[in-house]
Formats: sequence, C-alpha cells, structure tokens
Amino acid sequence: MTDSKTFVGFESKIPPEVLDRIFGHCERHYGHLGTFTFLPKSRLHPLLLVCKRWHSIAERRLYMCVSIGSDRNIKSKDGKGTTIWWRDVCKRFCESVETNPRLASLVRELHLSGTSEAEIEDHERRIRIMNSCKNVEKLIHITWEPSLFDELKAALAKPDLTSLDLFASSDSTMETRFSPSTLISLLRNWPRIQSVSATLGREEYDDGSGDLYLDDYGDTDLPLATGACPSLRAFSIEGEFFKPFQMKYLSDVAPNLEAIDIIVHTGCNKASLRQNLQVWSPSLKKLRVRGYFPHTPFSDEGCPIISSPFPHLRSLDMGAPLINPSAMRFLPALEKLRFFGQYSYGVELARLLNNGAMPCLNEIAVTLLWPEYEPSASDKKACLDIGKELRRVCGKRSIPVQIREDSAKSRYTALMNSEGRWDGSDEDQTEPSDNDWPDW
Amino acid sequence: MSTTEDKTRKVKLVTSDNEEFEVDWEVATRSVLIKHMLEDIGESEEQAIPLPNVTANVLKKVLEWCEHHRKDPEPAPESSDDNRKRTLEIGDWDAKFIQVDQEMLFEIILAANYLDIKALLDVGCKTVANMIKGKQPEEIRKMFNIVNDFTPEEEAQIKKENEWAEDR
Repeated sequence: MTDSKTFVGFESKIPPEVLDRIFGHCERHYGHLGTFTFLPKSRLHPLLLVCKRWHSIAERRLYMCVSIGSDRNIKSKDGKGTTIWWRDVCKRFCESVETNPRLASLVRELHLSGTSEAEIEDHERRIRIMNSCKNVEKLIHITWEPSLFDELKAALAKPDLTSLDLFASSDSTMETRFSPSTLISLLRNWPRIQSVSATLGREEYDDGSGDLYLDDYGDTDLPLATGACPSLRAFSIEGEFFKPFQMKYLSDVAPNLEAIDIIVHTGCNKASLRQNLQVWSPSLKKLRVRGYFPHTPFSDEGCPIISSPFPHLRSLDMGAPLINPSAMRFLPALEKLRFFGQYSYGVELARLLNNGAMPCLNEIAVTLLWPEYEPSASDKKACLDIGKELRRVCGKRSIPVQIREDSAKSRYTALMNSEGRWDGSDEDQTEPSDNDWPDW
Repeated sequence: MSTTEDKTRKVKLVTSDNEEFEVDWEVATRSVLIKHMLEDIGESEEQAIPLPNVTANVLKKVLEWCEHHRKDPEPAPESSDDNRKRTLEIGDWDAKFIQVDQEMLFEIILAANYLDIKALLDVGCKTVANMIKGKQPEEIRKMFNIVNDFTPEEEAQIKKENEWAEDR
C-alpha cells in the first residue's frame, strides 16, 4: 500500500454516477451530416479492464448503445495503418451477445448498418443480433435482404421498441418489398413506440432517379390494433405512397400523432385523407404531405384536406390543392409554412398575410408555379408582381420569406427536389466536433 | 429569477472544518444546492449555510471558479443529446484553474457534484477523461493507484467477450 500522502483512494471516493460522467466524456462522439457513422465505442474498451468497479460502469455504457456498420481506418499499436472491418466487428459482437445473454440484455439502443457489399450471412447475422438483444428500445436498421423478409419482420416484432429508423428499400424488381402496410402491421407489437421513420420503396428513389412504387392491391388484412400505440408521436415514410386506408389504420392505432411526413399518390381519395387527418387535429404539430405521380396532377376534388381547426399545428409543408391559403385560417398556431402552388394562390396568400392571418408565423418558403408550360410575357409579369406583393406583406410582418418561381415544365421535378432543407430547418446541421483522442 | 436585491446580498457558508466564508449571492448561487437552500431559508441574511461535505481549502477553490463564472448564463437542463455533443475541450481559464494535484482534482469533482455545479463538474470530469485518454488499463491503474482486482481468468473472459469493441 502507498502512504496516505499519495493519492491512494482518491479515485475510489468518486461515486459511480460521476465515474459514469467521466466515461461519457471518454466516448468518441461522431457527428453526421446526412450519413450516420456506425462504430462501437472502442475508447471504453481499456476502461473495462482497469478494475471491477470501472468494469461495471464501462460495460453498461459500452452496451447501452451499440453501433456497428462502418469500416474504420486506424493506426495500429505499431504505428501502421490498418482497417477494422464492420463485418468482423459484427461477427464478434454477434458471438458475444449470443453466448452471453447478460451482455445482450444490456443493449438498449442498436444501430445496425453495413456496406453495399453485405452478403446474405451478414444480413442473417444482424437478424441474430436483433433476436439476442431482447431489451432494445431504439433501433436503427439500415439495408436489408429481401430473401430474409420473414426473418426481419419477426425480429422487428420482438423488442418493445420506443423508436425505429428503418431503411428497407428494395431492388428495382420490387419482387419482395417491405411495404408501408408491413411496417404499420408491426406497430401493435410496440405499445411504447414514440417515433417511426422508414425509407422504403425502390433503391433508386434515394437518388431521385426512380419513381415511387405504386401497388394496385389493397392491403386489407391489417391486424386490429385500435389504440395500440398511444405514445406514437412522430411517423414518417419515404419512398412509397401512403394510402388513405393505411392512414386510417394509423389513426386508429396511434391517435395522438404530433408529426407526420408522408407521400400520397396524386390520384388518392382526398376526402378520405382529410377525414383521417382530422383524427390528429387535436395533437398534430408538424405536417408534411407531399403528393406525387409523374404527369398526373392532383384534381381539386376533395381539396383542401384541411377544412377544420388544427389548433396546435406549428409547421406545415404541403402544396396546393391539398392545402390552399383559405384553409390556412384553420391554423392559428402555424410558425413555419412551406407551400407550393400556382401563382393564383400567391395572391390569396398575400391577402391573407396582409390581413394578419397566422399571427405566429415566423418563416415562409413558397414555390410558385407558372400557370402555363411557357407563359406569355404578360402572365410572367403578373406572376412576378404577385411574388413582389408576397415579399412586401411578409416584410411588413418581419417574416423571413423565400420565394421560388417555377415553370409547369419542371413542377414535378420541383416537388421532388424541394425536399432539401429550407432555412430554419429543425435539424441541427452543425457538426459536433469529435473529441480529440488520438487513434492508436 | 434573481432580483437586484439578490445580487447585492451576501451569503454565509460554513465548511466541514468550521471555516466561514461570506460571498456574493450571485457567486454562491452558481451552486444549485446552495440556491435551493437559500430559497428554503428565505430572506434571513444571518443564517449561515452549512456545507458538511466540503472543507475550507476545497471551498476556496470552488468559490474561485464561481467568482470567475458568476456572470455565466444558467446552464440548460441536461438531455440525452448532451452526451452526443460532448467534447474534451476546456476553456483556457478553466484549464489553468484545474491544474491542481490529483487529490485536489478529485476533491473539486466531489464538491462540484455535491454542490450541484454542473459546469465545474464537467471541467473536472473532462480533465480526468483527458488523463485517461489513450492509456492502457495498466497505465490507468498506475496513475490512480487502483488495484487490479480481476483474476487472470476474469481478465481473459472480459477481453474475449468485448473483443468486438477493441481497436486492434
């Protein structure tokens, strides 16, 4: 033993929650801009081996949130460069959790991804990991193997999830697809679920080069699950059309949604859409409904889809005719508006704003479309005047405004391209700096 | 919410070794614990706040930090996202302030934890994290004089089951 004047025991006085805080600072925190980084918290590894007290705290931290799926180049101990392959990490982790249920039970957050070279056994292994880690609450699962559809579906149904981010696009054949119906049929398994986000459909959709998948059959065999997900607050689906019957099902299962982001087919039944949206009118805060189908504009029938008050809606991203300025009077709490439609709607919107409608509004982005394929010079001037008027009334109310003019020629492209973030996006794009531990 | 009257008010603090410190309200209330105790005792200026877990030499150091940071905005409540935004960076003044021996470092951490001064606690925790960084278990044990209480078998088992998280 060292004499009492040295630091014997100082560290041992530190309570576990403070040691845990220190270990929290030891972790590497990856920021991401658009893409995730899937790496284990390797900096905790040496801490596991210091002593039993440190081990229990570091182990809990290491397994609490496990992220696997990215390769990593590091300097090895002999100073040479080496690569840690995600596949090897995945293999070892799978072995650990399959042979040690106690460790598996510690995992609360699981982020699984892989490179495009993932083979079927890699996908199988990821499903085995999901099956072993029964206490997972938050899951990010990126890429899948259509031939393992049933296995993935069964694995997803097991844990009591609170949050799911699923990227399950299919190849261009779409022979086996993870459909919105498949996803919402799983909801009843997650009574505590709070957030669901999925990118489905064709892989090509991701780069904007492919159309959305349109299936003609109705999925009528969704399991009964009324009120099964009272905590579900946020729901979004990219890459596939969300149909009114799916929306009806979602409103039955999750009546308290606060945020919804979906794409609907321009030919969908708008009356049904409106009726289903109405269910969430007391709780909805953020709504994004995009309509799309190449060369098929929305008809006015059944529009607008908001025709009664949504008292708490703060953010709206929708185009005409699903919404029009006169329907915006039902949105007294609206703070952010992203709207696109023909210039005639711009006149109405300017008048409404001039009259003080939507008093909380603090951000507007408007895309105005030319009425004709190639408008005449006088039409063009009239349209530009509408844009000026909109800017004037927004200026009067000190509302920052972005106005984009567009032509009918490119309107559909515009709708799809307008998915980029606009100023004031909720998402923090600031990259938090990595802490400064050297790789060895 | 602090009033102008609060800002001119003095607060008496008594340490475990019975030393009394008189400090500005604004300085003392960097500690959430003291702030709550002051709220509990109300306007009584005479009543000293006992701090049985802090010695005079440690409190002196803690108050030096509080004095320097007296005008800092109140820290936001912690959220799980905070973990993801953590870095090991420490401001220049804080870095100089925390250049103390290991005994004092841990005492400051303990005091900051007890007094509920999150920003000071983080300065201390980051400093220890910086000391640990890049070190092997044996080096860490040596640095903090920690006894290895694993059997060789236990150590081998831990290495094996956590191989997936090792940078090799």
